Amino acid sequence: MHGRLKVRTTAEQQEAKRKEREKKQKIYTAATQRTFQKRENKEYDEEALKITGEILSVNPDFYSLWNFRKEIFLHFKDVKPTEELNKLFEEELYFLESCLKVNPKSYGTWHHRCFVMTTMPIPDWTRELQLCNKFLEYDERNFHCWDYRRFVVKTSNVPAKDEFDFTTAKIASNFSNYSSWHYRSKLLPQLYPDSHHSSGVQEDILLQEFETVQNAFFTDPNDQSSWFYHRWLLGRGCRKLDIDSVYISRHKSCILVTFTKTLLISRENSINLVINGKDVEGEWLNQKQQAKYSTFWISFCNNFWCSS
Amino acid sequence: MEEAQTKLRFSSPKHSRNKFDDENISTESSVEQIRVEDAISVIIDEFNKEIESDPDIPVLKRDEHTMFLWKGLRHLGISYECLDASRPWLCYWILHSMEILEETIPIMTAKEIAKFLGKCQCSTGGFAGGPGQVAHLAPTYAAVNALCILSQVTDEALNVINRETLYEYLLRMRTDDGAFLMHEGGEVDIRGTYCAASVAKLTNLCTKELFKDTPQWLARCQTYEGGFSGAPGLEAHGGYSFCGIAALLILNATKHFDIKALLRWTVNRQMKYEGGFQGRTNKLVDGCYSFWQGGALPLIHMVLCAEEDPAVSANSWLFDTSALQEYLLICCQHPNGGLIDKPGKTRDYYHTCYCLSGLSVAQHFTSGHLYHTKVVGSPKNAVRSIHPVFNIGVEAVVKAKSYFSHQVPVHKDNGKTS
Repeated sequence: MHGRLKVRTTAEQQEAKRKEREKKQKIYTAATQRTFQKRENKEYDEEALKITGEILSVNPDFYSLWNFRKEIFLHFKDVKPTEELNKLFEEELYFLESCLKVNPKSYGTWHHRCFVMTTMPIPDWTRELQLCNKFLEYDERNFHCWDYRRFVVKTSNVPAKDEFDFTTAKIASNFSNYSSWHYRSKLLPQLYPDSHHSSGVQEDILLQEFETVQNAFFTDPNDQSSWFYHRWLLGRGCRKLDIDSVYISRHKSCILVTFTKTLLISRENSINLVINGKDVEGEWLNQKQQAKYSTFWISFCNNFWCSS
Repeated sequence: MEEAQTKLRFSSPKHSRNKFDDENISTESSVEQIRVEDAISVIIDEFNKEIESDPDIPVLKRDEHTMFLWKGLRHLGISYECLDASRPWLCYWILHSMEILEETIPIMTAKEIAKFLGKCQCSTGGFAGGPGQVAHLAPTYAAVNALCILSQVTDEALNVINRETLYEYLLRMRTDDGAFLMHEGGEVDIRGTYCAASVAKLTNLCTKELFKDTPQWLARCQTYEGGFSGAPGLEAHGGYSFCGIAALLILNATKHFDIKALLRWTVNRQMKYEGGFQGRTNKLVDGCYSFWQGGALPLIHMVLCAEEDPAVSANSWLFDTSALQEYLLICCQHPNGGLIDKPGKTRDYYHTCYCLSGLSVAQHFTSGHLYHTKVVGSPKNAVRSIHPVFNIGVEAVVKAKSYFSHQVPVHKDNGKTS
């Protein structure tokens, strides 16, 4: 804590500490040197697994060692019988779990787990989903774990409905957890698709969701999560490109169009203007008379008045 | 132009009204939020008593921070085994903090660090977390930034970088859709793209072949919230948002995303009571987001100015810069030096670097010919201004760009990005 004085250690204690540190450092340096050497010599054996494992269990962010372990396992895949191989992979999963307990936010560890699951002969995906549940219970905002969950769901074809129910339960236990709301917004268009709607979700489902989120912000209007989700439900976060309004002026010989999103009208990205069944060509410029991104576009056409 | 000292937000009797109200419904998130606010309100009360007798506070504890930084620099490579795959990061965090605090780095030290970073460079290109390790884009970014900072002390620094192999390495990390792997066999996320774009820009290696389709991939990372996520489809996050907009600016491709949505999301991440920033929707304040979120606002400003948006201010970034300075100076300084995430947390070099970077952004406003400084507390608190795209000193960027501008691009197609 701040402002608290540190108790002075005696010179003797300091010396002992220094020696201890020196000893640890020697072991550590020797171990890393040995692994680099083994990798260089392509010695893919149990010893390599053991030494890299010892270092990774203290420092799971040592990504080079995960690379080495990948090479070892790919080698095992070529030389070991399936049963033994699967057992080794299972042990690797246990080891990874212990590393995740040391640092649940280590990029390398989660990534290596993806490798193990996609490389092992008989992967148990149900167990992985349970692991995600466990880690999300421990920290429900851990985005590494949410990412891994998406990977598990996608690779093992977990029904979207199951995941949707999972978010319902998560939100019921803590409606402030925005990660759950966000995940829900990704599941709804999969479960109840409707391409005509700006959010891509069926209207009746949106209304049900509206009810749920309304409960959340009636309960606590200061909570950010529900408002973000509400914004998504209303389709304001992801507007579909559409024509907002069209105005034609005969007097000025021009056509004005406003769009729901900014866009660039150019030769590559042009607009087909058809008047009385005839294609009409014209140059499009924005409100500043420039060919730059805008929601507002004007075309001064010189040839369509006579035809109408 | 400097502005006279105004009354502190923390000292206003109305400030407690900014506290979070859970309306008697507590959730895990609301309990944590209230705990943080309670801890901060104790600090504010103490501070308000102190300021009566010492009107100069809050003061930036420059000497203490510098001592803490020197300690870390000397011990590098001896007692930092736990960060053994992030050693160039430690160099960068410490050197950049020193740069912000205007602490001079002796030439011998600079040469020594440059030499060490050279040992982290791989023969096949890029920099690794330590000598003998595999190259990785994050330490590559850190090493290049650190060398740019050192280039102001010694010309040897930039000479360490092997541009030919670096370019080959960057090309190898590129995926077909224009994103970047963090390292061989590693994960793909937006950090990789920012790191690649940043080092390529500083060393004059930005080519069409290297960043083909990258802006489109980056744009896919913007979520409906407005911020950017680590990869398409995930939740928006402060660190990733910074990477997204900074990379788009470097690649001159800011047309590809919704700037207003990003602005809206970013400004709403500044906490009402604490004054610092949170990283994601409904998370807690953290000093490091002073830069990841606060530092994104100068970038947003650049984009809006380029679009000639009449709504942009001519003397301030679009967030409460004083509130952020109050949070950093009053709540994030460790009494023995170094800066922290939030009260109760331990100090480290990562938080020291990003708290100071955020402080610098909050103090200095520059836009075209306009310049405006607003320093909370003692006028001595003013720190050096940084370049928010790369997060190194402006002078360091100028030096690197001029150094590498004389060197020919090493790519095959000879076509540079616009």
